[in-house]
Amino acid sequence: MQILSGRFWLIIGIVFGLLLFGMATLQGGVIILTIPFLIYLAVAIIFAPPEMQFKADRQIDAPVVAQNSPVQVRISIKHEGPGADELYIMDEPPPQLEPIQGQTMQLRPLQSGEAFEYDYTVRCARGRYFFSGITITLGEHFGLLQRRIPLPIAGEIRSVPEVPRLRKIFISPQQTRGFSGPIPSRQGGSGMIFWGVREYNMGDYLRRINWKVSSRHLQDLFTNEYEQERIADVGLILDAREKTNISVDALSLFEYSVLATASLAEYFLADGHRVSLLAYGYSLERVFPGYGKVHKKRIYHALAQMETGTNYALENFNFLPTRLFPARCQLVMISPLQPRDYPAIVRLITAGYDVMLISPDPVEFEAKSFDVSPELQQAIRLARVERSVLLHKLARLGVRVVNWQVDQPFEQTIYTALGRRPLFRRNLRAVSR
Amino acid sequence: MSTRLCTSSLVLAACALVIAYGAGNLWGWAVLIAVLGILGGIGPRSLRIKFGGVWLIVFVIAAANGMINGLPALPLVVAAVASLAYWDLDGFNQRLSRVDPSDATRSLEKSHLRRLILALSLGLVVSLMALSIRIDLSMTWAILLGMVIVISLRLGIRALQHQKKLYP
Repeated sequence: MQILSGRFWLIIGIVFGLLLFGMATLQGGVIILTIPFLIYLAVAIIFAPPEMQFKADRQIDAPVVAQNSPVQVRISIKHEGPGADELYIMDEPPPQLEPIQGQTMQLRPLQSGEAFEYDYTVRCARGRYFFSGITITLGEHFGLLQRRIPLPIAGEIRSVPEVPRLRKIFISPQQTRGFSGPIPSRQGGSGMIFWGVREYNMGDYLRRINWKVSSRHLQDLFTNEYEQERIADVGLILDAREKTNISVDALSLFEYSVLATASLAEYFLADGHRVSLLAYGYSLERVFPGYGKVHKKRIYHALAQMETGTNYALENFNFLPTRLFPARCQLVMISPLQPRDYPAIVRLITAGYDVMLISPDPVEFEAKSFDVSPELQQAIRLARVERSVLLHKLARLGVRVVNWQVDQPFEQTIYTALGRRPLFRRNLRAVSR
Repeated sequence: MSTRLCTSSLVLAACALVIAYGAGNLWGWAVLIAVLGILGGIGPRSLRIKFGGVWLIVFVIAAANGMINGLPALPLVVAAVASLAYWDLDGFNQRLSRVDPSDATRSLEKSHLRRLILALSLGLVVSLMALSIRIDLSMTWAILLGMVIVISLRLGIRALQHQKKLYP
């Protein structure tokens, strides 16, 4: 349908105003002043925009991209009707997308049956973004008469966290799964690492017979046993509570937590483990346990959409639903942590879970944004002490704690902290031998 | 190009009105119009974007007022035409400013100017011809024409209301 713009009504108003004024004052000169406006209006009506017959398409060069990568969006338009003076195309990308090249809108003349395309490049932070559609407006040169049509050409960009590659993390949960993998399972069988010696059974490989031990016995033979290496269940718990994830100058600590989670998920899945994810914030968002590349994508897509939120029922980890994770599996909590979470972690350990805590340091993160004053120095020192006591208490419980200063690379911090088998586990091994 | 023409049109409209009012010894009005012209020409762009139509209305009212006061008709018609050109080009420049300059926008600008010059030249010529024609209308015709105007205006307002319902 033809739209009469505000400019059209202004001209109409002037024409009628002059006519009425001229009639009322009986002045022909005033009526003559309407002539240029009437001719202007007539020219606009003669060249009124035709019916719209558009076909449009949107192409996104990479619907799934790493965080802060440029994405090119291409809009193709095909017009199957007569030409028009002015064509105005307006694409409205989500406001979080930062345009870095090209324009989202176009103004150009339109030829009969013309087809053309244009593109623009945007940069997107982590998230999932939906394009609703474009609005096409046809008009004549004077902008008095228009035709407008919204074309719902949808599109979607998923910007997943950029993942640093991790080298080696030693985990040793109390329970492993039945398939072979890289984790020592604390059970004798076939494997690489020596576990012990047992009496020979029918069917054992002859090359595994321990001749030294057997020579000390007259009738019996003994075979070497190796520690079975299996895969494990790994549960990633991402803390998405708003009050623990501090934001400084539009940069949130949560972004670091998400990066760490994605990185750990990538590592554990590459190692063959079964990985699940639970985000604990406004609600409990979950990715069910799974293996492989498809599951990695599933976790990335879930992480792309994660946001912090406040839910008073989930203020601390006391309501963490442990039944979502297999018994005695490896739990990796990614959380800045607060003192009230301590009892919940104790509860996890007593339930038999092997807990690892990756904690982006909120004190140092926030302290860097302040101007230094003596009072503030004191406050920061107290906060550091409180946090270090909390982390120390957890470490004494057997939690493997990584205190991550977020200005340091994550992979380096992880390699330093978790790149070796934990000391108490090594001692345990020595005792068992 | 269109930006320069826009400012020139405003200056032309203001000058024509100043000349007309000066010829009628109405110097107070002439100074006021000159100030308005200067304000539109060199004032901040945001002011023109917000009140683009105001200059058109003010200058048209000034031209109509000049006609009633018996001022020279030629500069008044020129002022009305120039203020229309200013208003049109101002709107066009605003539309152009939303996009980056390209070959497409340059060709659009050329064809816009061509059509605007054609329409306004025609309007000016017809108006000047009309100034030399004198038709005496009886009271009946005047009332009839007045009624036609009022009815048309009413239809126009109804159409506007209908459109606002469809495209709020």
